[in-house]
Amino acid sequence: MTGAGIARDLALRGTSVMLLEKEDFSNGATGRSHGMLHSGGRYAVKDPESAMECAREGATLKKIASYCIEDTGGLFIGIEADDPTFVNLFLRGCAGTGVQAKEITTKEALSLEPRLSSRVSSSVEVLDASIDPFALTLGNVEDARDCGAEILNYRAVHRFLVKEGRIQEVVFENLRNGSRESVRPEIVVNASGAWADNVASLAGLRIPMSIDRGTLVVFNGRLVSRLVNRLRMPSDGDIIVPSHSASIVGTTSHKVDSVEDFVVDRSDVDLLISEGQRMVPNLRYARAIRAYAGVRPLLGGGKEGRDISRTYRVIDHEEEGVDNLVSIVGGKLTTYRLMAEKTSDLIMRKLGSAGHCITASEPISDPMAAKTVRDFLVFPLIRMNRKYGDEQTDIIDGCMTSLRGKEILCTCEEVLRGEAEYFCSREDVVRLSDVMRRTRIGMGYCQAGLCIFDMASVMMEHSNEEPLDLIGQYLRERWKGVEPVLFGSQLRQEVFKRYLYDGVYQLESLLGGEAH
Amino acid sequence: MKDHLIETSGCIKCGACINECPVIAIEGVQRFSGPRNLGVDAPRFLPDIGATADNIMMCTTCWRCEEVCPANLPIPEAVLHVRRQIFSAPTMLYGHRRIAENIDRYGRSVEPKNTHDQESLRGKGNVMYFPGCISKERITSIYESSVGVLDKVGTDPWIPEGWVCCGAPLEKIGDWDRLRMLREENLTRFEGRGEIVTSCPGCTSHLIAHYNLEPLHTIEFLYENVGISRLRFKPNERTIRVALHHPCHLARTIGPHAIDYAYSILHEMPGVKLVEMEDPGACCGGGGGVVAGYPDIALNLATEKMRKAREVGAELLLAPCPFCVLNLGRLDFPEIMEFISFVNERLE
Amino acid sequence: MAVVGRAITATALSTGCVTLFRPPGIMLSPLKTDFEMLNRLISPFNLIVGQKPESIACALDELRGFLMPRLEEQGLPMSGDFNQSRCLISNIGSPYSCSINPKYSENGRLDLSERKTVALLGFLGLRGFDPDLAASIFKSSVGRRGIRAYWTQIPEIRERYDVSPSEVAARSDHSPLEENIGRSMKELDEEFIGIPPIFGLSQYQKKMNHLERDTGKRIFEVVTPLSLPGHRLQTALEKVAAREGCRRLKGLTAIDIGFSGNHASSVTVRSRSREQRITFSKMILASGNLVSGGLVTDVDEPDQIVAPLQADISRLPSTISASDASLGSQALRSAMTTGIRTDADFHIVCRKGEVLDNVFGAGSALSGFSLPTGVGLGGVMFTAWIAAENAMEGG
Repeated sequence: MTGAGIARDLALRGTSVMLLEKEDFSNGATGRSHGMLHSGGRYAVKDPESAMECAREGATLKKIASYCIEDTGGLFIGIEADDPTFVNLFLRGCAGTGVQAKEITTKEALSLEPRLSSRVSSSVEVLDASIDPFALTLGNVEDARDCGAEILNYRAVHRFLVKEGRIQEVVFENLRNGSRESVRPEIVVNASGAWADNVASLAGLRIPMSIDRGTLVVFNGRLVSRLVNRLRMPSDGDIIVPSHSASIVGTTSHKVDSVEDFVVDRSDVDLLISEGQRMVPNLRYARAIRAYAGVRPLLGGGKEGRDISRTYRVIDHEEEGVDNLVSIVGGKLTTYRLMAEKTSDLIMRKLGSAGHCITASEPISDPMAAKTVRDFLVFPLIRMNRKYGDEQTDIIDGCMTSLRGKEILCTCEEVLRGEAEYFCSREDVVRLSDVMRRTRIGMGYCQAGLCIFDMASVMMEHSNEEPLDLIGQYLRERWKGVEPVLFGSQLRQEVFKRYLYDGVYQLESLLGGEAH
Repeated sequence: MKDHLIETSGCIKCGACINECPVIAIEGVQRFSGPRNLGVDAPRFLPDIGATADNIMMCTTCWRCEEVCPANLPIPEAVLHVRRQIFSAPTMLYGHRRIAENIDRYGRSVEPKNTHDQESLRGKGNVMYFPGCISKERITSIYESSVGVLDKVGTDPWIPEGWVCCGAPLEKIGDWDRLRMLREENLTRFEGRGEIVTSCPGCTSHLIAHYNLEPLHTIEFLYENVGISRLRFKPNERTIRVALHHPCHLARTIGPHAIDYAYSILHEMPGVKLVEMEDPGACCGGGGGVVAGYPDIALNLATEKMRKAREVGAELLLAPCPFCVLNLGRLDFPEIMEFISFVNERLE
Repeated sequence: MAVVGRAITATALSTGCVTLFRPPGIMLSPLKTDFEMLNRLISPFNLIVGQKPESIACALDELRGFLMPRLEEQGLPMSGDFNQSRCLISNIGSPYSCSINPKYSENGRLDLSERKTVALLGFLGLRGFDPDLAASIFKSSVGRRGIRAYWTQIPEIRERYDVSPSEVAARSDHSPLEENIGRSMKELDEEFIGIPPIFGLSQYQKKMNHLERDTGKRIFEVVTPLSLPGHRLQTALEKVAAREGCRRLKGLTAIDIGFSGNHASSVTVRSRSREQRITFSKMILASGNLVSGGLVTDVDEPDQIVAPLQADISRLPSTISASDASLGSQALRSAMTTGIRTDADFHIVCRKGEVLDNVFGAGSALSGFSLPTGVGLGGVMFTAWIAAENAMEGG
């Protein structure tokens, strides 16, 4: 996210930019985040600097990125067992950091959110919102491209050639075909999130940071209509976020050693459900459809997990002997634009260029009203409006003109075949999960049970890869998030999918028994 | 209030509901997105639930989707719940607005055509007969036959004075304010009831679910309370080929036993040759507010039903439901008659 | 004799090709005796504890003799060649059904060897069948190269757009659908043409025959996700049952059982508005597996008939361990191997170990019938046959 934001910021200022992303965009912490646009309330007591940043940036993003933001508002609720004095601490903290907060009665809270536990003892309304991190990243990417930036996915940085205190050449691998390319940039920006230390070490430098892993569980349906937070010191299972057709419950915090450690801890899943139930009792009966883990990079400093400040740091490695390397580490999704601004300011200074940041006011995509089309059901059009910003015009046209564009491809998420066709024809879309991230195909409760074949069918028209390979790759990637929630309705769903896959296409043996 | 979102969360996408939906079969998914889309998928996107307004009123609430669902999901209830949530007086369909106006003006879901006043039927018996709007105001033969049969078997039914529409159509169009108003009104009139007998499976089902009463449909009353042995049928030389339609709300919301009872009664009647249609439980299109909201869809379903009846050479199609008779009666052949009306004709 | 139940059966939800018996493993060496073959066919199903091979063979013959002519009468072409090492009873013995699944892609009459050219024909607007995708998978799985994919527009399908196979089937009885399909087929060069399932049960055999005669091609039906095979078999079985005088009460959930000692005497069933008590002398529980809703994954469900029965739910290990490994998940394996426990005569065994003398279990509700996948429905049919025979025996 940060990388895309910087690329856009610099491109808008007229700089020539190339962005290299190791996997698909929003692969790192971004795609594994909670999808929260923080009001700042969560940090009001413990991390005032972050709280202030969130309060300001939240308002800014709602102006420039409204196309991918569901401005739901948020609640902080204390349950009977929680510390009753915390609410005062909280309100003071908010007042001191510019976070808008208004205390309301339990009755009001329950009328706003009928599924809340009747044990609510204190409630505060805040300006949280739900943001789609994939759409946000892609919006930045496309806007940067419109300004001339070259943005490449599936390119992994392999080596820095450092000479005379400068990175002379960056060698990177095209993961799609294994070829190596290189580029000779004036400045290298290390915005690789949790991999920042790994990348810095390519230049012989280190960035002290710890890796923290958190688990999130996705539930079917919007169980709450606004973000619901626990009114206490930040802890596990504090937050429920409504996002599109789902509710995301999170999170946990464990220090881990490896930046690639995305394994979901099953006991975390249980913990999240039991904590979440205390705010929304019906969570017990809700259907968990997926779990995922994200690794967050936290700046070093000797502290542990939740005690580390969530704010960011821009590092100019000139002081450490590499003149043209800048790293940006830490921070949150909510403040990405600010991080990008500060980083870009530094870069412009280093380049000796003039040019002010305009990202605080320049919309990423023009907000539009949903279209109506004759003889066409309304729902898919509304969904496209929620997902695509001003790109929806072209996508809808594609759906109407393509031979099969109007067919429903993903019934859970109401996605049309034309949407998949639009993205599959893109050069940077190579895997089925790339299509998924852009269209939400497969993110619903059946977790691509049927639409996986339709996705492969569309992709076939644009790719030389065997559809079975595409399908196998997608299933293997997704399995990590499927397994931890194999209970209840999702277990039944997966059993049915086995019959489907084995009975019709015999996927199990064709994929060498590795599919699951 | 039930949590419909959680209750419909068990869907495994087997597609059984879609395969069984009569409206999809006739109209196609491009026009009617179907039970899973409306009852299971759409409610997950809560703020955008109004997006289903363009086709959610096409569901006839035939209840087949729930019947075949392996997870027993309460899909029709979920659909009705969505209708309730998106209900707004200014955006009502024309036909539905007429229903609301009729309720306000006459206490009936249809405009009364019949001025024949039988309101003050004060039987001394222990049975309260609840006529329902269609039996009383449209297909009055049903009203007359029901009272006739009840009299013939020695019940002395009384009808609550000032009764109003039970409210079932209001649930179908999502107007809960009027639904509640009607219920309150009726409950005050139902004093001293005893057994309750209804002509319309819609009324029967609604009185059970929303009034917490235990009414019996006329067929149930005849079979269980009166008993087949007490029914004396007139002799008949001429044989007529009769097919029985299984009304959705009778077979599925009341229970398949009622259909069994109907067959048993028919077997007792001289001069009746029973012919079996293909899929006798297929929806006729009369339910769910579709006759008023989308008369073309109701007609298409009725046409299909009548075709099946003609195919097996039925001269008469019996339907134990006033709404079915109303909808099917728009077509010419075969002849359509309500079940109790037929019984009354042949009962001594 | 009545069949009481709700929802759709596990049979009707059978995806893929519906075979009645299918031995696991693609390659079979010729087997010496019928009994060996029998054992190989039956062994995936953990039902033959204590059954003698002769009695199994006898029962299977009876089942075949009863079922096949009746199913054929209803339009479901069946063939059962006991000596064919692949299957005992199968609806792919018909010239028509074929799956991309290599287990089923070869059958007696349909020769898909390299010599013949094969076309897959898709209909624009019909959900679920993409001939391009199917051809590609066919090539990988069967190793064939000579498969071409084609698309055609049939007005009845295309007008409606995004139709499901069952919609087409419902309408195919009354429209010139097959004429239009025949016309498209004649334009193709290939000898063998695969189409998705589009004909309803009653007309299936007739229309496929007619298409073959009309076009001069050999036609087969490709199985697609959520296509008709299981549904078609279920419809045929229901019609056979109705013809035999069986009453069917749909839409009823069993919620409680009345006992006197070890003897069950009545079951309470519930429709939406009414409860009824049905008394019986014998009961066969065939409520299906996890997918069809007969078994549940948690115990909060008050309606689950198994609860009042206190039946023992257990897991018998699948005899085919290879399939187990590919599942890769304990939860999945457990879900697919769990079921109701019965004794060798299919009496249901309770948790405390008592055997219910007049309640029998049959079908995929029993342990061992849901895994491995792809071995067909023969096992579940067999249990139903034996359970019914045992039920009748006691008098």
